[in-house]
Amino acid sequence: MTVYERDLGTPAVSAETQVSLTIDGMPITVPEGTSIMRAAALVNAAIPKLCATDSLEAFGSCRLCLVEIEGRPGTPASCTTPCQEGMTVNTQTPRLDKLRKGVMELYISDHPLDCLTCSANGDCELQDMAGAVGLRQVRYSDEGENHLSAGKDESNPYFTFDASKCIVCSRCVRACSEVQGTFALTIAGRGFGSEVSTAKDTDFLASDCVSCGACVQACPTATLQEKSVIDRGVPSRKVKTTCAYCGVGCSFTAELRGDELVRMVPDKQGGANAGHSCVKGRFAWGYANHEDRITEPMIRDSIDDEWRVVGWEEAIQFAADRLKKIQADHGIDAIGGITSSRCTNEEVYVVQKMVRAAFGTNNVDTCARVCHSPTGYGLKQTFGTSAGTQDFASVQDANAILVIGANPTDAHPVFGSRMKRRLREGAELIVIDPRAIDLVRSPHIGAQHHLQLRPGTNVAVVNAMAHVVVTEGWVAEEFVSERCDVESFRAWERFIALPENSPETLEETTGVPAAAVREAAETYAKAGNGAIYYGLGVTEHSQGSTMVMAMANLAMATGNIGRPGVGVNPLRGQNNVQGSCDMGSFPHEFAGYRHVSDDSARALFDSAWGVSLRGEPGMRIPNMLDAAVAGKFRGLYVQGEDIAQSDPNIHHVEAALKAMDCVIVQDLFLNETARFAHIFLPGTSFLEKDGTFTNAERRINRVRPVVPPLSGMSEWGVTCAISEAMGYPMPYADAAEIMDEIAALTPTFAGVSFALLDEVGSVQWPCNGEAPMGTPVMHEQRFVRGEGQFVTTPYVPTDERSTRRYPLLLTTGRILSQYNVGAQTRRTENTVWHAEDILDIHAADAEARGVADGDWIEISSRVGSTRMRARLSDEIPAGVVYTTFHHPVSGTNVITTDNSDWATNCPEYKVTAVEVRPSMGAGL
Amino acid sequence: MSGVLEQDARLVVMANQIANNVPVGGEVPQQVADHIGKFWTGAMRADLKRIAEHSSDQLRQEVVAAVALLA
Repeated sequence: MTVYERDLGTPAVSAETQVSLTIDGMPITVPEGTSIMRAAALVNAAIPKLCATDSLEAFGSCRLCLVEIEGRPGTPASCTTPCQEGMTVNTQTPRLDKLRKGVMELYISDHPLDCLTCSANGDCELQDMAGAVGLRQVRYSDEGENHLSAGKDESNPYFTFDASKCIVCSRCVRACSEVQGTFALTIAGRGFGSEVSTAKDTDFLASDCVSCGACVQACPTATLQEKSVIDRGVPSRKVKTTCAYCGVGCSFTAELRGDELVRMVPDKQGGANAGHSCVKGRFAWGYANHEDRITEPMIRDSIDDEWRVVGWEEAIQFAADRLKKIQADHGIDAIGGITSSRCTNEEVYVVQKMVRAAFGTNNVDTCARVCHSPTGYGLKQTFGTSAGTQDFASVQDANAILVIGANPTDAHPVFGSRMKRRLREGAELIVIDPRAIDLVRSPHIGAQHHLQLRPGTNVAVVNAMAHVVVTEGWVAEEFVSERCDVESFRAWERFIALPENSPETLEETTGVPAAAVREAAETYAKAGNGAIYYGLGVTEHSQGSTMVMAMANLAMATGNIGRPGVGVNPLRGQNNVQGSCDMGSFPHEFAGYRHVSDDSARALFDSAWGVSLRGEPGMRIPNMLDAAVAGKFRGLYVQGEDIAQSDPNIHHVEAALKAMDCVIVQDLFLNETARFAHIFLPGTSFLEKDGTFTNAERRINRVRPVVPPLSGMSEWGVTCAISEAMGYPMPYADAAEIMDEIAALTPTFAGVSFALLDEVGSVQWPCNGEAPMGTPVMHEQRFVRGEGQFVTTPYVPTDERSTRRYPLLLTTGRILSQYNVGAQTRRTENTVWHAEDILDIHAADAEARGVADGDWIEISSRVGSTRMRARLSDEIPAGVVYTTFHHPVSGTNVITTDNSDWATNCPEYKVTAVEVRPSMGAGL
Repeated sequence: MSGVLEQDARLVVMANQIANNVPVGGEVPQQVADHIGKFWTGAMRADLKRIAEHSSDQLRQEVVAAVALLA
């Protein structure tokens, strides 16, 4: 049985003009520019090929795909020859057979004849093509010069490079360039001496390779092969599902032998990723079967006791009894829950329903509190709903791309590659970031404008850009008058035109030269299509919400909303941040972003759930923690989040957790939070889940069970069992039934069902009667709130400032190979790239403190200190230091403070005043 | 600092921060009251009222005025 996708040889072409031709007597009409190879494949006249694949532009090197065209001399390559009107093509003739056989004979003469023991046996295009052309013998001896003894490069933890099997088709090199955009590979040498090489002539691990695996996927032989395939054999069945890492939400085919996962292959039909992946999605799934997985429930009376393994029934009853006792002793609102953006929509929905209906409180929050809650607030105020405006494909139509506080190539790498492709095509790039992220300068890409601002001055910079737009007369007056609330625009226009918002006035505050701000503003405003992409470098500030609104103002003022190529786009950190917010995880909102005080919305849920819901907001996560320290909040259900590592001011978090009588952790591993838990409920990895994730472009994708849950229970099933034990049954037959309820109660999801998703692949909400197949671009005719609302956004400096005692500003972020608190990626081979958190420090700051590259340092803030190694870096300016938060040993959030966004309490991770000193080692 | 005092201190910081950041142009106390009414629990609002009664010097004037507007 084959599990492989059909390959049409060259990419699809979009053109208004169609051409009709005949191939092997069969008529076909295709868009002008389509290759003969692709057209032939469409009429099932597949032409032999080796260097062609439909994920890459035609190359025309292997000489196997030759065809004859009536009226034309020679035998042109079908991959590089476009179809023309009236053409008559023959793909099978005696002359072509002879030519192809001769070409194949030459390939095979320099290729190991070990098919039976080769790891690609059954999954090798060279083997297939030898069969397709009828090659029966090789007349050339193997005594001549050849590459059969060429060595292997096994430095990469996930794949091998066996040069003896390479046919130098360049598919790997082209995949690295065209698809990934890294340009880590090249063809070294000439003629017979040609060979695939890393661009720096090192092994793969030491090269610029980012291990996205595009080269492995493109390789037609066993030259580049997953080690998991070498170890386990070629797969025999497949299941389509969705990645559980970042907010791109890539679609994958999980390929298995029996119940053993062999590899993850990105789905060409995936709406978010179109066949591409990153190192995490493709390779870093080993954590799912890691020995640290806890697969049986555990309980203990006190956090000082040892864990006791129990059955599900006992654990669930234990949890319910404790929660009920807390409510009896301390009141209904003494307990609550936290949902997870790593869980499915269905799992999240039942947790918030349990909290509201079974617990009887609105004390439910989600880990989006600490990442994109300002997006929810800011976009709802201005546009009317909490969602990015575009689909990912929209970037292909952008002429100017404004990246603010995001690092797409590391944190959203598959979208980063898509963005890089557009930049290579000529779109202009503006980066607003204290760090010189990869996009600022990488192969064939350079930012036209890098506004390297001081941490904490985002609002000042974007206000200054808007000031330039208004005072230079670049406002899109027609868009504003037709689509926006004009009164609010006039008020904003007066505010933003004030001298206090000029680039010149703000230059000293932001550290960005006024001229640079003016140039960037002009680029964005006059681009025609200007698109904003942003990340946690926007939201995780004391003015995170203000900044989101400032960007929305800028986009509306320049008319950059409501069509492909424009928009305001949050790059969500985790796979289901959008979904967890959509599902009613915030304490003030039901699913679909309807406030709990909205009588009509509450009546809808009251009726459906058979309860009387509370009409006032519950506590946010930081409110819960503060109340716990005060002794008022005593029981917490934590679904798939590690607040004792991920949340700021860890000492405060730990004090809160210690003060509680019942902490329930539902997770894959005994994480840091579990140290304070009384009940541990084993969770399910994404390979065991059945449900949906909603990515950063509002795309709802199916997550299908690849293997059964190791714990024997679905996560939503566990939640429902606790709810029932609390006295409120939630009897769902399956996850599809939960989605049906979501759809029935949430207008933007009204048309969503598992059946629809299985039929069409994915849809982007709103998906309802008005948009039965979803909505790729929002606000096309009108904003969700009707007219776009401008909001004045005064710049207010954060209270967190550098001082004589703490003279440096720390900002934090993620790197490519690790993911958030590292619970998953630290349990994979990805640690080879990043085994510990490291502090990036400018050479001048390091020298002033006697710190050399690689030294241990102690970094301290007003709330705590930790130690890690230092790396001298010119990616950050003097006065700023940077690190990641992937490792609990260094525990970066020991030093981040409880400063937070004024509107949402999203922590200000991006600005912490610190001092750095040399240290003798890791120990404190 | 006790947990209750710590919680009170946080509420003071949050309320003052809201007053300092609401959009310009509107009445600040009303905007603060609206925001707190929309996002704070009843218990937090009650605590803020208590703080405003006994320790109003910790709060910005606009917050004190906003408390009077809270339901």
